[in-house]
Parts: sequence; structure tokens; C-alpha cells
Amino acid sequence: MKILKQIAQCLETGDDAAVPPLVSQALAEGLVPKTILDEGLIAGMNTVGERFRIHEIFLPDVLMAARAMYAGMDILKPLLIRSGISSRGRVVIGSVQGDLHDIGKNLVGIMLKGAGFEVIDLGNDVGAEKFVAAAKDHGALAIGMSALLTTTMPVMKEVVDRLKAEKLSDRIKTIIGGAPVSKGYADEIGADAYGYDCAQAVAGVKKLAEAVG
Amino acid sequence: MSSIRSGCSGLPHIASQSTAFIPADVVERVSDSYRLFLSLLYGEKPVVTGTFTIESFQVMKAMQLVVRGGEKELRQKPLAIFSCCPTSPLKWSEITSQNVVDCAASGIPVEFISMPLSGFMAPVTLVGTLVQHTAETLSGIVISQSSRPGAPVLYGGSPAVFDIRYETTPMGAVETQMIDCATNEIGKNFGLPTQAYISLSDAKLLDAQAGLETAMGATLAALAGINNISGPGMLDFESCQSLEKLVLDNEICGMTLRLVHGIEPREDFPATPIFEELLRDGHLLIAPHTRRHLKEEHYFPGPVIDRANLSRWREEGSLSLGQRAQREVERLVGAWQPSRLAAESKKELVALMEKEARRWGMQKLPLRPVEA
Repeated sequence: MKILKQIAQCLETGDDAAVPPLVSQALAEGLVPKTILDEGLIAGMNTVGERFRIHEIFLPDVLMAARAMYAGMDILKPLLIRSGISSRGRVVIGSVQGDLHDIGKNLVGIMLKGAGFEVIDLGNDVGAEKFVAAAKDHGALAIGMSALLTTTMPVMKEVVDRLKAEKLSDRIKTIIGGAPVSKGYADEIGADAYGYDCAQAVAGVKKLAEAVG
Repeated sequence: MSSIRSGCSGLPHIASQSTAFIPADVVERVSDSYRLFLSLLYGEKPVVTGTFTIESFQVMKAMQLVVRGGEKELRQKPLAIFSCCPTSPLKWSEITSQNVVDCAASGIPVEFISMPLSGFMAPVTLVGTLVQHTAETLSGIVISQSSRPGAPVLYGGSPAVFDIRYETTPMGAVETQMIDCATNEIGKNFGLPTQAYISLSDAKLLDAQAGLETAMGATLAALAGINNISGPGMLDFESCQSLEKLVLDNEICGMTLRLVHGIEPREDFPATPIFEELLRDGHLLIAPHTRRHLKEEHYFPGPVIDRANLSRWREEGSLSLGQRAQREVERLVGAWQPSRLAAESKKELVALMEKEARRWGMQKLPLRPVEA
């Protein structure tokens, strides 16, 4: 469909003003919201994400695309909810307890939303109990945790352990990131995924979403 | 960590040591006091450090009192600088604010480390970043000076540009270094001593990038006149300390310190007698003028810097810089001598640290591989 391609292209150029009229037009042409979301908005974001990964475009371009996507989502979201179609899943994110560094985590949040996930951002200085409680309350598929300080990293393990203890680790996955965090540390504490930057974080959550089903 | 202490002790151009690491072999609540403890126990150089909590301040002050001998002595000759960081943009946490207040009350110098990131958490223009850095640093100075007027402070920072391609904060970027030099000028304009995170590298190995970024930063910092430089030994932005790099950076510091001493006339006029001597003897290698001034005019770097001719270099094993640095590290660690701090004071330090560890539920300190 030509109009879906146009929507996707608007995301690539970051043209947030052009997206709402195009989405409305697509609806008027009889396309269902789910198709507009998948083949317009998310298709556009996927292209943007891939071009970002191979360094053709940079972070600001991705943020512009995400903003254009939100502009389209404002129209689609109530329609999707009405027709009982949920998002790709919910993800609880936060910087761990003792850590006030949240800029990396904020970027991950923006990118996850851009990829079609619902993001529940708990902010910074978040303890293990709060992470798990929020994930349960919101029926989240994953908990994303960020740390910049080596001293705060143990909170990540607490979350993983708590999920295991509560027998939730099949339903709620964990993904971690931040400057001192590594794949090795993720393996060591039994976290399900690790992302070294925000694109990798989104790729990781996508995989986890498939695994959870 | 003790290797860094011993390495650092033997490096003449590194004036102070940073506590640098977060120890993982002690309970988290003493990870700040324990690293200061090791620095004071094993090293003699002044320390750049900081606390992670409000509660750690007292013991970290007490340790310094042991070394200096009393409140008055510590005030007269501070032993450690505490780094205190605002959170960009323009926020001060309760912990950091209280640290600034506590340091001011005890006369412990504070360096303010504002970290605006150009184009991300600060305006993209270098001037815009400087505006934010100035506001954040001045607000810290207000906290300090309203607690105790005249409390010692350094006008410091770790600003950086933000690389949108990799989501990183390159410390080796020329713009980062330009911002550092500019904050120095602003601080000097306020009449304050300055500090910056400069002469470090984003490279992951001790490679050409590590050398070029460090040397460029050190040269600019020296020419700008930044007073206290945090950077030597660091790789991977500010995430890694390398002993081999520290040894190389000691040489970079030696060279830049020579640079700032500049070119001065020393018994050079009238010039005729020296040239007469040259014509008479065919060289000036052992001329009295040479012998008087050789050491102050020429800086001789250590074995890390290669100045041999090709044949000699080959004969001595064709060693790369990395290999030479590694040898030098081994030599320095082997040559380490315990600090000259009185045995009684060392005992007091140990007692203070043990008490602090017990307070947070750790009954025994980790084994220390070498006796202090």
C-alpha cells in the first residue's frame, strides 16, 4: 500500500507533522489500525533502527523517528485498545537503587516505545522489590535495569534472584545495561539479556518478547 | 589496587594519586573509606577521592587526621581532595550537598565535577555547555562558601561532548578538551585553582590513539594552566586504569611539565666564549656550561620512550611500547618501599578501618598481600 510506505518514510525523515494526517487518511481508506501500526509505523522504525545499527544515521535521527511514531500512535492507540489489540508487550525500566544516572535508561525507554513496546519507567534509585512489584502489577514481559556505578550493580542480581524465588522468571525476563555492566556479568547473575547500547537493548527485548511468546 | 599505589609511588611526574577503583572485596558501605585507607597506608602522595555516602565522611576524615596529626595540621596542609559532582542539569543530591558542607566545615578541599554533555544533557554549542558548567559549578561553590566562607575549593569538571553515533562521551575529543581549557579560564577569572579530567583516552588498548589523545590533552592542559589534572592512567573514557598507561603518562606529564617551564636564557650572553670553546674542543659535551645546565634544560624520559637507534633497538629485543611499559611496571612494583608513615599511625589506620568495617557487618578486612 502506497500510504503505508509514505508513513514509514515520514518516520525515516522524522516528519512528525506529516504522520497524523497520513494515519487518518489510511483509516479513511479502510485500513485497520493494526495494519497501519505494523506495516506503517513499526516498519518505518525497523528501517530506522537498522540504519542506526550500521551507522548510516545517528541517535538524533532515531529520536526524531520515535517522535513521529508517537504522533501516529496518538491516533491509533485508542482504536487499538478498543479493538482489543495490545502492544508488543510491556517493559518495566529503571536505574537501580543507589544510582542517580538515568540518561542511558531514558534513551532505552524512548527506543523501546519506538519499537512498539509499552514502557513503564520507574525512574532512578529503584530497589529490587519495586522493580518486581511493578512488573507484576503491569503484567510486564521484561524488566530493564541500568547502572553506571559498580557499587549499584548488585541490585540487578537481587531482581533476578527475587524473580526466581517467586517463580516468575519464566514470565518476566530481565535485561541489563550501563557502562560497567557486561555480557559476562549478565551471565554471572543469570540475567536473560544484556545490551551494550540502546539499539542492542531494543534488540534484546524483542528476542525476550519472542521467547515469552 | 596496591599495585597502582606502588606504581604511583615511583612516578615522579604524577603528583597525587587517585583512589580510582571501587573495591569489590569489602562490603559496599566501606568501599569508599577502604580505598582511601589503602592509599594512605601504602602511599605517600596526596589523594584525590570522594565519599559514596554521608556516613562515610567521618571515618575518611579521621584517617586523614591520623596521617596529619590533628585538625589544625590537616587544615594547614590538606591530604585529600574530595570530588563532589552535581547531577546535570543543575541538580545537587542530598549526599553530595552534605559532603560539600562536611568538607567545608573541616577544611577539606572539594573539587566540583560538573559533567554537562554537549548536545545531550547540555546545549550542543561549546558556549552553551560552558554556561551550564559555570552555573553548576558556581552553585556548588555557593553551598560550600555559605557553610564556611573561605573553604578550599577547586573549580573543576568532567564535561564532554556526546558522540551521537556511539552514545558515548569521548574524553579524547578535541571539543571536550577545548571545553576543559575554557572552564579553566572561567575558574581562573574567579580567582580559583582549577581541575579537569583531561589527558586521558577513549582507546581500549595502549595504542596510538591512547598516546595521541593523552598527549594532546596534557599539552593543552599544560598550556592552559589547569592546576590539577585527573587523567593519567585512564583508558576507555574514564572506565579503566592501566598501570602500563600510567607509566607512559608519567612521561607525557614529564614532557609537558618541561614545556611549561619554557625557554629561559641561562648564561647564554655573551655567546662568543662558548663558541670559542666549541671551535677549540670540537664539541661541548663536557663544557662547564653544558654540565651546569644539562639536567635543567633537557628532560630525559624513562625507558618507555624509545630513543635508541634502530640497531640498538633491535639488539635490545625490538620491544614495543606496550612491552617496555610492562617491564617498567614490573620494575616499579618490585622496587616499591613501604611508606614512611610511622608504624603507630599505620596501626591506627588499620584500627579505624576495622572498626568501620565491623560497623557495617564485616568482621574481618581482606588479607593485604604486602605489609604496609
